[in-house]
Order: sequence, then structure tokens, then C-alpha cells
Amino acid sequence: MAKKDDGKEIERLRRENEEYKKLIEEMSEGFAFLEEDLSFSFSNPACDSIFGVTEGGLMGRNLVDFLSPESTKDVRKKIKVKKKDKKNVFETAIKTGDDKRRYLLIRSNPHFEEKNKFVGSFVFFYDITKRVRMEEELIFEKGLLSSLLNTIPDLIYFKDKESRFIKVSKSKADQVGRSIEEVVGSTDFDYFTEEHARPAYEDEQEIIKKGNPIEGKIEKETHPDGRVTWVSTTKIPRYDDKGNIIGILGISRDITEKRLWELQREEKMAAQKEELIELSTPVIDVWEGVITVPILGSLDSERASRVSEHLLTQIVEKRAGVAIIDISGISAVDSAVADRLIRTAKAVRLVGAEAILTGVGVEIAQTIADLGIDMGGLKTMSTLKDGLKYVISRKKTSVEEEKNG
Amino acid sequence: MARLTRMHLGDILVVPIQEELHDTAAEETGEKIIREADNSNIKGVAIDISALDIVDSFLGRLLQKIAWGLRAMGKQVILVGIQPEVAVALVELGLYLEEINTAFELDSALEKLREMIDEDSR
Amino acid sequence: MKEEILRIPINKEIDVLIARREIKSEAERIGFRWIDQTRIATAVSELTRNIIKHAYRGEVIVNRDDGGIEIICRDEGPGIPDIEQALERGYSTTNSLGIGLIGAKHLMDDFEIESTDSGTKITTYKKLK
Repeated sequence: MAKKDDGKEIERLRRENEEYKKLIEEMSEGFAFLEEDLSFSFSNPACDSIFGVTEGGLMGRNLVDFLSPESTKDVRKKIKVKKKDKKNVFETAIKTGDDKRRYLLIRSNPHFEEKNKFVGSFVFFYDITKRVRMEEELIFEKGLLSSLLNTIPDLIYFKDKESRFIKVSKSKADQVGRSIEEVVGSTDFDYFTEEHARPAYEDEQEIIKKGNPIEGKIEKETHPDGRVTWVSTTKIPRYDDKGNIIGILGISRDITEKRLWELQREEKMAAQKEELIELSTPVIDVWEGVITVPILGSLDSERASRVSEHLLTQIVEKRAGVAIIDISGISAVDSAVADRLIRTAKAVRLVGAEAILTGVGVEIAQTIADLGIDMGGLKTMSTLKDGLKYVISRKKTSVEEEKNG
Repeated sequence: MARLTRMHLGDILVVPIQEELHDTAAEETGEKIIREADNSNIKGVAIDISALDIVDSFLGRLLQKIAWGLRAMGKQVILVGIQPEVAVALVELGLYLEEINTAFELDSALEKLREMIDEDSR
Repeated sequence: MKEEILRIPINKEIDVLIARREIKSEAERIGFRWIDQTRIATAVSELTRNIIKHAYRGEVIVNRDDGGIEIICRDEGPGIPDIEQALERGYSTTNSLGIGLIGAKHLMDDFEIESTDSGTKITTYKKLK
């Protein structure tokens, strides 16, 4: 009779039911049944925990309670979607009962009665918060990197072990006249002359081999169109997570302007130095055919050289017959200084003029005598005035001689 | 062997040295000058080196020797056109050439030479 | 950073003129003042003459660096028997070799001489001011 069979069947069903219940209770995915209005009529412990409520705390509550107003309409619609071949899976964000923000993957199995009337859905909830967070972070960081590489004026480039570009900043791409994508896979040799590309390549290979970074190296870059730029370069090795060197990261700061400024300043300083030297040995016309140069301060061999140069060119330019070298402003006279003065006077004679040394006061005369310096026939006088008088009187005499002769 | 350019201006012989001479050529030139001046009509010699921008110790001493030779023959000598840089180099080599009169340009050189010749003949 | 800019063989008299002319041009190019260009050219003249007169053959090597110009005169001649004596002013009155060496020494800023019976090497330097 049916009664005994029924009993066994019921027992079987009851046991199955228990097993299903256990399965549902213990599974880590959230599982719930939502009524037609999306209220929970059943939820497993995992679901309760996903939604941040105590066990059984979802009963009577509505899924909509946990959604943002903007996503409610969307979720309501999606829960009811029955797809023929595909599973109905979508993502949404919820705010849990304990006020946390979570991301859920929802798999919905909606049920309908005749005439496609939605009566409810068996729903699986998967917590994908971690994955979503990681994705968000990745996108954020990618955005930061892109931002950096697009806007930074310094030239940044990542290269592989063969010194080929993997990724570059926009500034670097612009420098070589290409787009960021076009640069990938190329090398310095594609953009610069051998003179610049070769040593850069060798530096990089050395870093890749030995791992020693290069910091703040000043390099001159020669572009094929003849342009010259200067950069300060730092190159460091790049490692994989096992600690092997897989390429380099390079940062180059353009210092062309700074360098040009420096070079200009050096030139200017050299020019100023020149000027200063010229100023400190002024050659003055005092009379027709007579020029004088005062020596002020010290007369080291460098100064003496300049004085000679200047004096001799002036003698030639001005067709001077007499050069008066006045040393009343000289700081000290020793045998070396006297030697230089004598030599200058001798050079003056060789270009066809006469040299007279003035400003040889009592003290200097004494020093010369004490040191036993032989002035080699160079005429000396104590003041510039005396020197001039001498020259003028000599001219007078020769004019007289001509008159009389 | 370069031809010796020279000008006779009355009793004055003007010898311009216009190109760089290596030692042998320089010595030959020196000999030529002496031979040319060995003439009773010549009373003075002006050696013009304004074209030279490098004069080393060899040429410096050769010029000295030529001047001595000419003086020994009773001629007045003047060295014309020692450039400033040459003057400096000679002085640094210790070659002051003091026995030789100098002038920068030919006209003043000739004037001076004229004076020297007149002085000498008194 | 030293770089070689000229190497001139000195085999015949005319090479003395060539060497000094070329080196004077280089000195100008480098930026030396005219007075130093002449000093350098004259020093080259002195040293290369010595090579022709006493060693018959040799060469001049010109190097430049940021500070100035280096001029090396080398030969494989019999060498200078007594360098110190040769460099004394008094001794040089009859010895043209000595005059050349002393002259070059005064005209340049640095002067070094190495001489054995298999050759002589004179290294000189002029600072760019």
C-alpha cells in the first residue's frame, strides 16, 4: 500500500531538504529569495553577512533599502530580466547595514507566472568589493601616471634591457618629434647622432649589467638637424619582483637654457676681465707722437705681457716715437719687475720707438741700486712731468738744429 | 731659391723680406744682401721685415750677423717694420738687437738712415 | 680631456715653416691672444729647428685640452748629452741647440725634456688665458 512507500519517499525528501538547507546555510555565496517587490523572504547567513546584518536580519527588509536612489530603478529592472541562453549577471553597489560600501555581483533567476507576471527571484550575491577596489586603484594610478607623463616637463623614459623605449613621457616624445606610441620599441640611435647615442647606450648597458645608477650627469645632445641641447640625466636600473634587472628608468632635465646662460656669463666675465685689463693699462696720448702708460699696482708676468701687447699695438697704431712708462703707481719693484720693465722697453725700441721710464722716485732708485739691477740703458726720470719736459726739449733742439743746419 | 727683391734709392739699398725663409734660404738671402751692398755707391741699407710675423732665434741672429757684416763694410743699417708680436718674441728670446737701429715704417726708416749716413760722413 | 689635433712630421727644413704656421693657425682657432700665438709659433720654430739640425728627423704632436695647448717635439736622434748645461744661459752663447731650448722654455709656460741616446722628447704647454 502507498503509506509505507509514502513514508520512505517523505523521509527521502526530508533528508534531501535537510541537505539542501545545509548546503545553502554553509555556502559562502549569498543566496536569497526576493519577492515581487524585492523584499527578502529568505536569506542565507552568507547573504546576511554580505548585507551587514545579523542572522535573519534581512527578513522583511527590502533590497532597495541597501541601494542608492540612482541605482534602484536599474536594479529593479535587471532583477526581472530573464535571458534565454545567458545568465542574468550584473554588478551594483550597496551600502550595508553596518554602513559599509560594498560591490556585489548579482545573479538573478526570476520566476514568472502566466502572462509573464514577475513573482520573485532566486538571487545569488557575490562580494566583489576587493576586486573592484583593486581595479579602481589601478585606474586611479594609471591616471596619475598618465597625468604625470603627459604634463611633466622633465623627460622621462622607461627602457628594456636592449635600451629600447617601453614608455615615455609626452615631453620626451615631443623632444624627438613623435607620438608616445610611435616611440615604443625605438632607441636613441633613431633620434640622435652616433656621437650622442653611443655613449648613452653604453652607459645604460653598464647600468643594466652592474646596477650602478648614474645621477645628474650633464650630457650634450646633438640632434641631426644641428640643434644642440644640454641635459642633466639620471638613469637607474629597473627590477622585476625577483630582483633581476629588466631595464632602466631615465629622467633628463633640460638645462640648455641654464647652460647657455652659464656660457654667456663666462664669455661676459672673460670680456669684462679683458676690459678691466685694458682699463688698468690705459695708454694716453700726451703729445704728438708721445704716448704714456701708467703702471698701477703689481706687475706680474701676466700683467707685463698685457702691458707690452697693449703698449706696442698703440705705438704702432698711433705712430708714436716715444713711449713713457710711468711707474709712480707701482706697488713694488724687485729684480723680476725691473726685468719685465726692461724687456718691455727693449721691445718698444724694436718697433722703432723710444722708451722712457718715469716715476722712478728716490725709494725705487734706492731699491734698484741696492739690488744691483742694470737698467740696460733705459732712461729713467723721477716724474712724468720730467719725462715730458725731456721729450719736448729734445724736439725743440732738433727743430733748432734743422733751422741752423 | 727666392729672388731677392731690392730697391735702390740713391745711395740707399732697401731690401724687403717678403716671405718666410727656412734656414738655408735665409742664409743665402743674407749673403745676397751683403753682395748687393758691396758697392761704393751704397751708403746705407734698410732691411724691411714688416711682412714677417714670426722671427725666431735663427733669423734674429742672422739679422744681427748681416748688420755686423754691413757695418764692417762701412754701411749704415736699419731694420724696418718689426711687428709688435715679433718684438715681444725676440725680447723673450733675449735677442735685443741693440746694435741695430730700428724704425717701424719705411719713410721714417729712410729719414733715420739719411741722418745716420750724414752723421757718419761728418 | 686631452685631444690630439695635429701631428706633423719634421724631415726637411721647410717642415719647420709648415709646422709653425699650422700651429699658429691652430692657436688662433683655439682662442689664444696674438702675442701668445707668436710665442707658440716661435717656440715651435726653435724646437723643430733643433730636430732638423741635430736629430735629422722627428715629429711634432699638438694636443689640446680645456686649459690650453700641449706641444710635443719628438725625435730619434742622438739625444742631448748634458741637458742641464744646455739650459744654462751662459753656455748657450755658442750652442744653437741650447739657445733653441732656452728660447722655447721662456716662450712656453711648461717645459719638460727627456733625452736618451735613442731620442729626445720635449713636452711644452701654453695656458689659454
